[in-house]
Amino acid sequence: MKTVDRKRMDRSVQDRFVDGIDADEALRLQHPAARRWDYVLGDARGACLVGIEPHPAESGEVSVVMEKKRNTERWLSDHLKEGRRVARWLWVGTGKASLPLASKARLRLAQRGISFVGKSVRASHLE
Amino acid sequence: MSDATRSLPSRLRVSNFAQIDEVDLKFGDLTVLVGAQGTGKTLVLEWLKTAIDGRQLAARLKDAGYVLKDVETAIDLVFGIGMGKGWSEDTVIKLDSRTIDPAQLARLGSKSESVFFIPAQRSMLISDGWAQPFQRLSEEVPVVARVFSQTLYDLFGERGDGVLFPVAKRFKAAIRKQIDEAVFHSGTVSMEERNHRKRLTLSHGDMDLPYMTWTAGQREFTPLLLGLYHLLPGTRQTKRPDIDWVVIEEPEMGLHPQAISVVVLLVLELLWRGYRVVLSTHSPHLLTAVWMLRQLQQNDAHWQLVCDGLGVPTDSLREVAGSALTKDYRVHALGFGDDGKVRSRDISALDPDSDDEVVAGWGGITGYSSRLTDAVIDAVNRNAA
Repeated sequence: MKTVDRKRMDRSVQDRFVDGIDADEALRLQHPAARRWDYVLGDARGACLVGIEPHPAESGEVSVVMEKKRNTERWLSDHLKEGRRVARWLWVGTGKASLPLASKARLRLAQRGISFVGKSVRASHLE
Repeated sequence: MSDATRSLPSRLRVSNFAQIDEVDLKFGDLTVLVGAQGTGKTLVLEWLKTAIDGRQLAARLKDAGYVLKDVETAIDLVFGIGMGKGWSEDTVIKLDSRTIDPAQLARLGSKSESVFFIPAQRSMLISDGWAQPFQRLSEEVPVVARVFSQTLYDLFGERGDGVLFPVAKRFKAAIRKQIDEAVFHSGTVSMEERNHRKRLTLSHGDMDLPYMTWTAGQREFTPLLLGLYHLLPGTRQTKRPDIDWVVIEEPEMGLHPQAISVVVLLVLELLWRGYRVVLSTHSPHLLTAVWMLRQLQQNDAHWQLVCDGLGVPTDSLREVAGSALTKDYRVHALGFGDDGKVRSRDISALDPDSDDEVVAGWGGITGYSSRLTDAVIDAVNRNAA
């Protein structure tokens, strides 16, 4: 994980992620033109996989993030062991903007199984 | 805070009254209270009215034959019978640095009423299309509701037979249009004689509809509208010189978000005119409007975005929209602690990314619905297995 992106996780949760892949880089050769989710990490405490996508927090980017998840989930299904899945897909907002809770953007994301967590991943996002 | 309101009290503290442990409100040009049912929002607003207009309340009660013999009686009559028990020797009410003593109700405030209070019970006060004067309502009705009923009674008496909406020179044309599109849909609100009695009527073509047949939103909005007429002199004056505060409880009641946006416009008009406005609300839409205004201020936005956000033509409300970007907006959340007592929090930042869940969840306004979205997220991801 790039250092700048690791800093988008609260210090209290950084140690939970002991391994993972930079999915964006790993899938770039096979799918160079397609939108790819950034990271899939192993949460040791939660015993599950967590997808982390640092991305500008603008409602216009909702469709982009949803497409990233859709593509990456499909490609990963060929590589994950039977029954394994990414348990959480977390969008971490970069830049100044945000998505208010009472917004259509958040509802659209929820329907695709994506949580917008604001500027930092915290423990409450992993429960 | 604007020059017009700078000399007004800036802080109200209520301690150890009824279920309230400590509520500390700093006022902006617009102040919004949020909180679950029973957290005392109405009590706090009634204390604001009492602290500023106690003298006038005492006079009205005396004219109606009541005897204000002690603190408990005064509170029973102002807040509603039974509320006197909420006062104890530990209760402290302060408006800025001044301690408010309900035993001295007749000495609180100045020569004229300064707080115009539109209560939550407003639609019930005209349930048969007419209002009751103060003295006809019993002491079981909070005094703020009795005072507002008197205002409506006086208005109905003045208007005689006549159209109440739409009325030229009452609100800017753009706002009248928004009200019509959101609430009355080309209907005309008027006072008509029916069965030898004057009553509020909503007319659509040949249909004349009595008040209780109107939609819930129309019944809630109309007394709010009529109350606001009282605040718009209709002359060259922009505001009534004697009134500085406008308190509106739950202005969103019964209203679709389109109509709530109209309410926001009306509030911005009041701010432009120099009134200080205090609202209580349960509406995510209304609070999102406040969030929008603060965000536009922080981003040095152009006034046109205020109009865009509220869905009004940009050329029609330049002064009101421009003024809105100069105002101070405060939001306070009232909530129960683990001990069952209520305390307030200043959540004015309305930052959905705050580490503080009370701020991020806007005092519960959006926090509760986030559980609903979390359940959907969980279901979608489990189903993907």
